[in-house]
Amino acid sequence: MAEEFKIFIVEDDVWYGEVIEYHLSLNPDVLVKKFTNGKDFLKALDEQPSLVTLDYSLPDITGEEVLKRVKEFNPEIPVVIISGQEDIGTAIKLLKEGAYDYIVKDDDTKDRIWNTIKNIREKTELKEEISQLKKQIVQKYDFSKSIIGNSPPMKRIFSLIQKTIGSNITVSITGETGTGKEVVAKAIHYNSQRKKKPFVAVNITAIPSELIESELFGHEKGAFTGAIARRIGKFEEATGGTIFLDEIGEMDINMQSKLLRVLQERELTRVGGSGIIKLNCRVLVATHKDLAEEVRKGNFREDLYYRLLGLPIGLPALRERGKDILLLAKHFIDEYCKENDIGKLSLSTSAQNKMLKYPWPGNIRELKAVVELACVMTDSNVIDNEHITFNSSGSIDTLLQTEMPLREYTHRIVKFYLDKYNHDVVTVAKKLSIGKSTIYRMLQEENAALRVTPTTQDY
Amino acid sequence: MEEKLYSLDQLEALASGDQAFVDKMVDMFIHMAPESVDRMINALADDNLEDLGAAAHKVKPSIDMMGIVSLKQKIRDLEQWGKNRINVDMIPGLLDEVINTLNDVVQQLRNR
Repeated sequence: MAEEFKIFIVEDDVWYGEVIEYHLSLNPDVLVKKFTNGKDFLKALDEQPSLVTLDYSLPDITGEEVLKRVKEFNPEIPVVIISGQEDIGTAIKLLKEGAYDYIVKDDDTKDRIWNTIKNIREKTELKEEISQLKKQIVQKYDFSKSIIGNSPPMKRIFSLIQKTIGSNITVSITGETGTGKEVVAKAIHYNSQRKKKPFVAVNITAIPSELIESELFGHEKGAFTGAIARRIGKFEEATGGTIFLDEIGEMDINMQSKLLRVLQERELTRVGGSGIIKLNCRVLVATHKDLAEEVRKGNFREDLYYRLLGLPIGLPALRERGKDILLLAKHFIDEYCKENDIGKLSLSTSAQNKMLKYPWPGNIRELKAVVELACVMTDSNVIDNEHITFNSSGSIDTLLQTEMPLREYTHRIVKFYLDKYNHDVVTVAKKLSIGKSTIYRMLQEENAALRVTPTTQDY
Repeated sequence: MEEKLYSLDQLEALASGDQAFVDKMVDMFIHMAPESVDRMINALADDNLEDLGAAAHKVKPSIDMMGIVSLKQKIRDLEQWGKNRINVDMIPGLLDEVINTLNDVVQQLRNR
């Protein structure tokens, strides 16, 4: 990956030039070129050296003039002046004019040159790395890469997101917990014009209600007990960028009024302060609640509701996304393998089916947890049925998540009780206030059904 | 046998065992030192003390690297006096010393 490091030596003393050239060529990925006068060197500038060592006293042009011309051509090229003159005044002048270093020709010269080269190379490599990482960050949030999904509901979501990117319109993201609301918010930000500016995420539920106002709008020193210094609020932090208010449905009614005013006036004042700060950030909000319902119940202000509605994006629950479940599972498996430096793991067909049937009340967050556990539990490179364990297995709370005939609900409830009471039919019959014969009949039906091979339904 | 006026320690340290490089540099010195000497003699004859200083400046690095310790300070003096036209009356004497030592070094190098 390392590009060749090109060093141009400009030195009219042939003997010394040989020494430096030899010394620098000791490193295999360094390319060295020698010039004995300024004019020849300047002509070769187009080759974009990574570093130039320049003798101050050249026959045709002054070192100062050469330095100036190099900086004009490309200010990024470091120029190290190597001179026989131990003159501090000259050194300072040249350093001010852009020389990277000034080295006097004496016994220490070689080491100093090496140090300088090492520093310059490190700096160049770091700069390269930074620019690569920056590119990666922007790429990662190209939403088709960060949001995995091919199902029809997700395709609709993608086209909605596409519509949000070009403008500053507020976006309200709704969906069950674990459906990826923050991931969508980030995708919107990092694909918008504001991508190079901050993305500030605030989880309303994580902040005590007394502190929300100062957290969002900042406070001045002494504004209230405990305010020992001025604090910049989240809205200010997000200047030029995007603010993401997660769990907006949890905001108390007083704070809602304040938020509404700030959004309408497009300006805010820090708590205890008097200065007006202009609002310049894009607002994204998310909630798992049904805000319209909250408005009806009187928990959420109707005017704020309409202010925040913007372009609404309703994320589908994982169970509605069909084969995406497997896509996501495969993604998490690959991620796990990469992070833990192990070979590829695959999902057996029965494991896949088990995952497709499960209602995933915790959505993608739960999927990730289940998958990671499965990766750890498997002894081979195949994840099988048995490795897929659900924490809420057969739990009644998840029961209503999936729709099924009433008799199926009944069966499951009875089974749950049987498991709980160790198949003590008498106790179960008593608890559920049904006859023992009902339970036995149900079990017989179950056995009969099991003899017919069930078909896996395609979602 | 007379004492060596030079030392190849520095060159050898740089070369880390590359004898060909050391030999190359020694050869170069053997050829270039007389040229520097001529330049300085001519400069003095023309009373071009500035050029004398410049020539001393040019030969200085090789004197340092060839470990010619006795000339280290003298070549610097020659450079400063020439450039700044000071101690003008002492220059010819100093130059003689420098030239003699350089010629001896070249002789010693040829015979090594």
